[in-house]
Amino acid sequence: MVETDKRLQVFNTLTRQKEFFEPLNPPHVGMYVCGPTVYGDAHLGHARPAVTFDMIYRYLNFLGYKTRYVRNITDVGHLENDADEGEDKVERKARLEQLEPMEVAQYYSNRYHYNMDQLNVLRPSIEPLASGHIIEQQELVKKILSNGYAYEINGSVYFDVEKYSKNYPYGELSGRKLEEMIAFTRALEGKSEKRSPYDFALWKKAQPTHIMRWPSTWSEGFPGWHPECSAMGNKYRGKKSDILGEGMDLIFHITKQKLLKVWPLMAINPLNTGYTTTW
Amino acid sequence: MAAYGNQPVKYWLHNNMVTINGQKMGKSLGNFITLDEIFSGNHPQLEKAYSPMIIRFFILQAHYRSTLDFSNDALQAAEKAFKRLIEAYHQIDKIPSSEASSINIHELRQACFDGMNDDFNSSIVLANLFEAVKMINLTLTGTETLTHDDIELLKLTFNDFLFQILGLADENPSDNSNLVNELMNLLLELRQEARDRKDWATSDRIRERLLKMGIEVKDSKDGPTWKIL
Repeated sequence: MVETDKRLQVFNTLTRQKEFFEPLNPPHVGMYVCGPTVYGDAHLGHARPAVTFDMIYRYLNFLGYKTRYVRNITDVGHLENDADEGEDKVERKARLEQLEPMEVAQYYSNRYHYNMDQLNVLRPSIEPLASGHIIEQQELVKKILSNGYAYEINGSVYFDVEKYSKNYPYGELSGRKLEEMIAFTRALEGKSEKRSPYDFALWKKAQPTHIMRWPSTWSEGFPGWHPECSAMGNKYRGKKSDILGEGMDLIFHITKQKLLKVWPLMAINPLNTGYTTTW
Repeated sequence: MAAYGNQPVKYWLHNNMVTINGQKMGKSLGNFITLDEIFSGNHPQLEKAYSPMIIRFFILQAHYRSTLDFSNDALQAAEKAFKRLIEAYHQIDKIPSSEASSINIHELRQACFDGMNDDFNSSIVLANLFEAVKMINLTLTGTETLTHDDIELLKLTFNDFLFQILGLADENPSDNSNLVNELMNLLLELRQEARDRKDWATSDRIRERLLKMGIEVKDSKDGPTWKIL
């Protein structure tokens, strides 16, 4: 360790206070950061988290930690307006530009990497693709279904927020209450087959025009946006990890959902699959 | 924390957003400026091009949990400040070593660590490095003194914090000067030919486009000169 007599403190959004940084299994640190959805050029709003978490990654390494930095690429499942209905962002771009969806994803991934190199942002240790982890996401959905916190309707699977919130603390990260979330979600989405407007898709049945689709128990379809980080996080950062980084605007409707997705698994049926790495 | 014993993640870090005119910069709002546009200056809201390191410096000037408001003024201020920092770094080698130090470099270095240890506060680290810039200037005028070891420690502090931890880099154009020089020579040759045939539109266009890229062309008796602003 280097010549510093004061210890690192980080502001933990979960507890809303600064805490001493004590990794679960030093000198290893696992850090998962939400990466880009690759359907357009990177802008200043993408540069900031990349530079911020690069600086954090560099400092942890400087302090002597061995950091495994995982940053995903979302190439499937992120629908327009971050909602559960509508077109997939990558697929929409592919339709407009008359390209294969994977062509769009590769093109913008390449451009993203080039811009990040220009900004002197170090490449992460692992950069998993959502489309490369369909099985892991399906397994996650199956587990949540078997735990009783999800339901299937017309070939799509949704997380049952109300049922979950009865058994588990809800919304710690944003501090907002369920009622506020209901109003928020209603404003975002119109008519839906979901039982409640604030439930969210774990698996979506593909419409006939949808190109990116995979067979599953429930339908030919594609994973929702939210299981992605949980599934890949579980796989690469280990069943527990030290740091999760993302944008503040995501605290409300995404981080909370991430908690929702993972907690039932952790609490009732600790996830311990063969490929899960634990530190 | 006991109630949350099964948390999959121990520390949740959230970085704040970039705003433009007080609004979140985002794809859905359509008010974003791409990095390519910023690096080339090719956007109606940009007065000029800003290099990747200016953008990185601009981002790190704020603590990650504060909002970061985009404006040309803020970027131009960042550009000036970053230049000042890099120029001062290059001056460190010119500091004469003395028998004794009149300023405490260990404290400066510790203050940089304290900044990083305080929730990765890059803003505090940079503020301390600007204190170091003042120190460098005072030692060059002889107002303050530093020993050889302290000069080395000062340089190490810049190398560690500015380059290794904050990940900034010296964008000195002399590094890839060959290609740039050749391209500039070609452009100035073409501009001279335009001037010779009194084609002021072309001549002005070349000068203005270069200025937009951050290259200033000046005409003198001995021919045109250029510099990267």
